[in-house]
Amino acid sequence: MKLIIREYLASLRERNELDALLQDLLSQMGLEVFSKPSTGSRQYGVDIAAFGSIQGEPKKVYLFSVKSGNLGRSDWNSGQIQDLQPSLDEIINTYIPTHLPTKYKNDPIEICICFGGDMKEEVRLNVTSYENTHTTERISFSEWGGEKISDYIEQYLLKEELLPENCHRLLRKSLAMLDEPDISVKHYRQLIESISAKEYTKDKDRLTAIRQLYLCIWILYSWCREADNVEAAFQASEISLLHAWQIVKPHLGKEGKTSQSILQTINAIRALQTQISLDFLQQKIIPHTNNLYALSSATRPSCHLDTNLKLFDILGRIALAGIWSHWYLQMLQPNNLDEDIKAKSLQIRDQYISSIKQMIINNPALNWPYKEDQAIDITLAISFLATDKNNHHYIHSWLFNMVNGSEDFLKQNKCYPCHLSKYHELLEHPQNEEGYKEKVTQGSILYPYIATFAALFGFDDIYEQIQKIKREQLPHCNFQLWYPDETSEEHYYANTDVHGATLCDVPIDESQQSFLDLIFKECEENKNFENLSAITFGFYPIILLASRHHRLPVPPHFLKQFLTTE
Amino acid sequence: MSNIKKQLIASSKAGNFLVKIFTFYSQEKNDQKDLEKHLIDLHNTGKINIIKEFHKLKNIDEAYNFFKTREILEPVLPKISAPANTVMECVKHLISEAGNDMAADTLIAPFIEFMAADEKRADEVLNISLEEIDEKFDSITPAILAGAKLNLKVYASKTIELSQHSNIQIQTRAIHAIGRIDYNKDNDLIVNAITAIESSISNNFNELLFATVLRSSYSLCNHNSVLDKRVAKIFKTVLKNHNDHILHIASSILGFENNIPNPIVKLLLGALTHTKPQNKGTLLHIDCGLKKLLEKNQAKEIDNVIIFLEKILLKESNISITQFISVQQEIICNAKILNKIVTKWLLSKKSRLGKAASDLVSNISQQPLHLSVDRKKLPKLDNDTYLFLAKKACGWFFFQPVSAVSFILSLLDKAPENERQKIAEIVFNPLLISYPGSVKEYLESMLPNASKIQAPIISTVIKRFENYHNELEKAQKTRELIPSVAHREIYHRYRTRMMEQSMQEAEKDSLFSHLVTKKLILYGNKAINYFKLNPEEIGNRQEMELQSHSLSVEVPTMEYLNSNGSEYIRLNFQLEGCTS
Repeated sequence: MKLIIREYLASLRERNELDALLQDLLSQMGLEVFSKPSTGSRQYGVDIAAFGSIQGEPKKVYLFSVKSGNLGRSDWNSGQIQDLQPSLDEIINTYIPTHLPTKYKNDPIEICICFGGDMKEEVRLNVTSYENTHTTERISFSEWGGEKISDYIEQYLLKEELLPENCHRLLRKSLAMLDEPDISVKHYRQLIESISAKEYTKDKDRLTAIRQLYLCIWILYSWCREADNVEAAFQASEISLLHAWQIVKPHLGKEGKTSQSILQTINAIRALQTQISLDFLQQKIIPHTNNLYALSSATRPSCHLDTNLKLFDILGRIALAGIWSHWYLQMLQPNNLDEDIKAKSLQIRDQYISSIKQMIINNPALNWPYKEDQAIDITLAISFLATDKNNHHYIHSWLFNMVNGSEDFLKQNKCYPCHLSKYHELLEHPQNEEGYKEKVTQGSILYPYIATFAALFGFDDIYEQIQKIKREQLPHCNFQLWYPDETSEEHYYANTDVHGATLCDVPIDESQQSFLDLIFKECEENKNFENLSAITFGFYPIILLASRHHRLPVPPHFLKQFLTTE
Repeated sequence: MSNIKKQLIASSKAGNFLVKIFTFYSQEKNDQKDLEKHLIDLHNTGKINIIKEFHKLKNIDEAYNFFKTREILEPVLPKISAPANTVMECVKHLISEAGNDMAADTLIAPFIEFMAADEKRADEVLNISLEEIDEKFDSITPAILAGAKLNLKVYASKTIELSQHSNIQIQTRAIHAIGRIDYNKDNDLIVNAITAIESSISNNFNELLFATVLRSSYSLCNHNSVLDKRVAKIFKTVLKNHNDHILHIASSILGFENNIPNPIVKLLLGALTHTKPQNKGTLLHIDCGLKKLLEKNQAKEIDNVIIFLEKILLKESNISITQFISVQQEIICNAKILNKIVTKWLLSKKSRLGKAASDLVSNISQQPLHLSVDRKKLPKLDNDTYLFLAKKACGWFFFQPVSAVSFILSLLDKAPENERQKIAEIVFNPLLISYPGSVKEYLESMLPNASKIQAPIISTVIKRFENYHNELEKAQKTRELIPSVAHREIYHRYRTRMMEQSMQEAEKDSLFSHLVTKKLILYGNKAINYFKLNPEEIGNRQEMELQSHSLSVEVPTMEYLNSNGSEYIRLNFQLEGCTS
């Protein structure tokens, strides 16, 4: 396990990665972190500052200067702003005399030279002589290399009393199978489930659990990054965030040191999930969205089904990332402090919008849903695109193609959407047996969601086409919509059980207004949505994440926003 | 008396005469002429009643071959003396035993010769036949033909008389005989015959009679071309009836007669458009007839064929151009006709003709057909005609991409400038994208000889494709998007199952698999066998090297990347602007 942690530490970058981990580790070790990396740029050479006792030693002020990877000659003093020696000089000459909080003025100080890997021999003499020269009665030096940090991680975060051996094994298996992401994620899911399934009676234990989640996903991500295949990390980060939310729910809105730490950690997990998603989309997907068939071809399909399944999956992922970016912008607006962050967030959101549009144009398989549950990805994509009214025309043409194609293929008994979900069944779809079509189209959420958007945005032709499909092709089909129920809060995030209620036989044969009235009346009647913790505390993308990840329909409540804008 | 004769007499007495003569006839060392002589002699001297013996011949006995044995009687029959009625009964029996076999009627000619040897025989047979009409066996025609050989005028006159008989069976058989009598260029007799035929169809319709009229009148027309017009008139009357039997006779005339006068060809083709898809024999005859017309390579004939094909294909959805195999091959071998038909049918705005063009081009040979637009067919000043044709070619020839591209490129030179770019777009997407192998190879091979208009367009398309391909290669490095190992395994199993099923299906109808015995070799790439001529010897060693056979097919990449969309585009291209 130690080797795994060392590999992981060595791969971490300095900013927002190694320093973020260190902060959590120090907190877990019982130290009070009074200067955090997230608060902005480093303060006169100090990346993290903490106070407390480590392993029974007298209490000290620990000042960390953090470098990523191995520490070599080029990191010592090569004229770069991030070099170690100038940072140490700044700590001694500026930070300690002028910036150290008054309450620690008389406490001993240990300056910790922190790096994720090893110290190379070429710089050893420089460091030792610097330490000898600047060591005083009050100021001492220590080296926190990969070895030492991994020891502390094992001791404070992953020791057997905290994380049982079977979890270690699952993590190792998950890492070993990174090139087969589905298998890797299967092991990882078991690991996460075993952490989150525990009954936590103490807040401290709960904090430890989500720190473990955070650490595990970080380890997986760093290994994925090395392997140049972040698929497992992508899925694992979604699982981690959803399970972490399940664990932290009791602390939401609570004051207190532990609760605050818990909230900070879930925020860190969310940020990490965003980072992984951004990494995946920005590096692997978005560069190809504007090239004809590039993504379709990248799926290296055995057959058209592979292309179809993967493209809708990716569509859902970009749409969800877009919704997170939109949410982030909404969160920023009241403060409106940092124009740069706002501009960058806007840029990212717009990039997601244009990527979705390009992706659909250049990968026409996205006009042909095969599976009912692809309605989830379609709903996410439209919900995101529709945040900008300029996209309505585009949404219309996409849905028009989709509905037209579905109608034609229903008539011709070709690959029409069905509610089969198993790969081997979909391979053989459609069949010519009598009654087959009726059997695999007994229920639909796809058409009702499209009809809802059509009614909301005034796409009369599409609404009428769906009425025609229902009337002529699918009279037997139960057009339905799904709503959360009183058990949803318990099961939504970790998908621990079936939950929710289905509104059957939505009245597609009626006028658009009557159709919408009934759908949104049910939203009014059903208060369970508002009671979902993610909604109550303003983290609505968590619900959409759970819907995408666990393949649950998007609650129609999310579509209500478009009712008021039209 | 020779030994053979003795054996034959003994066998007749023993009741195995037929087996004996079959055995004798089958042995190569025996002179068959000798056997004939012996049989004639034994019969005419009253030692064996051959007619009686052959009356015992059955099509079920395994001790001899029915047809081979019956064949022995054919040269013997004209030279024996026997009562005409018993011979007739024997012949009737032997023809009846033969059933529907193509060789059933080979005994008729010797029977005619037998009757022609003595006028009484013909008279006797005719009289019996007129008194007792046998529904299944026509003995009237042979009797008339035999009689006409001896006394043409009398029998021609008798036949004409019978052709107006109140019994339709007798009338039909007489009409049949009219067509088969050798008139010895006697124009008066021929004119009388044609008049009799004309008269026979003036009354009520009878399917069999009318069909016979068609055949007989055409025979008379062969005797005397002056009668062409009258025969054509008869054809016109008869072919108003689209009865299966009549159409079948019409098809056999078209298929097997040479130098049919043009008016008659037109009448035949006109009527034959009503052929039903289930009448495979009729369609086969039509195929032969059309091939002959095409072989003449004359504009009028070619047009007649094209018009016929269009009519029949538009009329009957269950008839396909692929049923006219000879015609298809003839068209394919003649680039001018092929291009003319393809252009005409793509322009027709009729989906069935588009489909027929597609079937025509999808020939069974591996070599792709290179097509070119027939410019004479292009209407002048018609907007979007070139783009329309390019779309049709792409839609209908999508699975013959080189044919599609060759046709589309041939449009470029004359296409208006504003349509060229759109046409080039079709070459790029979906054709080149779908077939990066064959289409790219074709485009590159075309480049050195391309026209000034074509060359830059082809270059641009190839360059664009290379950029496209580079982008695909970059994207394919995204390992995150590869299907899971579970899905890959499921697909592999599915494909293996599908392959096995289609292999089994193919083997069911495979002639080859019925001819050979299969042996599975588990290891190695040679088979060693010892062939023994007798059980005692070790045998000759034979070593057989295994040969590998492979067939590669370029599956359009669109089938993977955008299966539904590709099909949708194809359908749109096929049906866009069609009126039916």
